[in-house]
Amino acid sequence: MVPYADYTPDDFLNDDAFIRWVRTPDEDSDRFWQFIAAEHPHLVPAMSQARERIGELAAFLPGVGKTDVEDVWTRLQEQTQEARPVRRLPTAWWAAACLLLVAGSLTTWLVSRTPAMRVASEPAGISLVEVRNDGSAERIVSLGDGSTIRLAPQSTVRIDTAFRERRNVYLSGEAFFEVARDPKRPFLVHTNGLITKVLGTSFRVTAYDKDARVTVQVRTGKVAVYPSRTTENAGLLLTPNQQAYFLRKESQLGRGLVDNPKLLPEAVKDRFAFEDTPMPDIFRALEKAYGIRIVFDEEVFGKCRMTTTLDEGMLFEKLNVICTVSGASYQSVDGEIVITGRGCD
Amino acid sequence: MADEQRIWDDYLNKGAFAELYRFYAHDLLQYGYRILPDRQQVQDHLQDLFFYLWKNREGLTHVREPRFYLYKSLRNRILRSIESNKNLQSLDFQPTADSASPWDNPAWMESEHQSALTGKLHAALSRLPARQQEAIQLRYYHGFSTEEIAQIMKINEQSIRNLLFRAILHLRAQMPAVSVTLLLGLPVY
Repeated sequence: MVPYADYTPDDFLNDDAFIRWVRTPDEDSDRFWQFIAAEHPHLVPAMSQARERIGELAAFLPGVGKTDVEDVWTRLQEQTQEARPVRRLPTAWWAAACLLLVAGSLTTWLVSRTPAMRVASEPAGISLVEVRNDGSAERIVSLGDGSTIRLAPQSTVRIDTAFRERRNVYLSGEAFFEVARDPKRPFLVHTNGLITKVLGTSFRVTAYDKDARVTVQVRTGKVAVYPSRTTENAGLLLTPNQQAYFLRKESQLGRGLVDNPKLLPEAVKDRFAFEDTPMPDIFRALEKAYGIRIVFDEEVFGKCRMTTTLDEGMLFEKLNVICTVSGASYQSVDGEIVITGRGCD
Repeated sequence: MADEQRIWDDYLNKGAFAELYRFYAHDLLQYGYRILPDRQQVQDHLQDLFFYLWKNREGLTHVREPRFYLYKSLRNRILRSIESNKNLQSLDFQPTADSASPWDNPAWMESEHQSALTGKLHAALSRLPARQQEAIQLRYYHGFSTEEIAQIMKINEQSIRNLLFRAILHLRAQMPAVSVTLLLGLPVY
């Protein structure tokens, strides 16, 4: 029989059963220690002091960062994918596999898919759902969160169902993403060494395994890209019509404009009829319509005016028209357009 | 504990790997950070450990106490890398006054509910030798018995008892009992 009657606070601090009760109490241990306290009322102050002290000792911790657990998980996912070619289940099985995932509470923001696609659940329970496009046309994958993935031919996307805090997908090949906005759950696309992170937007990622580079082109919204081995701070923030290039071997990240910038969905087209309009106003209209920053000297171009309609053609052709008229020239620098020239008299 | 056994069995029999990871990863990091201040390296070791678990499920059916096994494995991995890389900080380094550096305890410094007394206790804890800190965390946070701690840290059980005893003694010397302090209104130091 343990001589509890003579216990000091320090003795309680060294008692395995007592520590276990303080840290993980259950019905049995509650009953036991209540019994001891009732039998030896003089121990109650010592017990409560020891209890408090154990709580304080247990709270002395290095402290784990908010995203540490998920960061390691993400890298682990990448490691396990590299290590094993994914086995595909026969068609009859994938419905069952999905059911299993749901039942296993690993659920899952993947709800619907085109029947033509093959879907597999990783046999070792790494909680990835795979969608492949072996066909010759684009396939649309609808996710339960309202996002869609347009998967190019010969491309594969794997969807991680293990964490609810982040929407992780792994892409090999090319896809256009339309991500439903959810600021609490960032959407991350993992590709050959590059991570693309968004809250809600649309963009295209091209990352074929045979290619030395990955590109990310932004259609709407804002997108952060950064190499897998670093954190977001080391990356770039992309706005519409910008694209990032990532050279896998050199782990080098750069930014430019997409080859053919598109009007933002909210742009109003009839704005492009200009009559005797100062050039800075035209630049600002283009800036707004394409979401691309146009850098120019207000004083230099303030006096230039022009009358024109710019609804034909692409952005770069429009710029050519404007610049030819005013003897200016433009350059694309780091995802922005810089206009230089002598201006007008 | 029932949960631990069920999660381990599900991993062995059904490949419930993600669940295993989610159950243990946070506390294993908490432990790893205690023994090696380089957080990136600890994360790498945790990743390696789980990658091993993922690959070698069939070879792990002999494991009786999964929690104990995981802590011991993580520690071995960290220790091996320290030994093969001696220029890194050793586990047995004697902490100096300023070893209570930023990594030491952001959690309690941020806590609003922490009493001044707890703050003092934690300051005193951070001045203990690293091994005592490790033993204290294994005992009071992770809830291992002295016997298990002895095996995890590879010292005999009596040494662990002595080590914990010295630590508690030292802390008590610095931390008079709450009631006394309150009654006399004395500062702790």
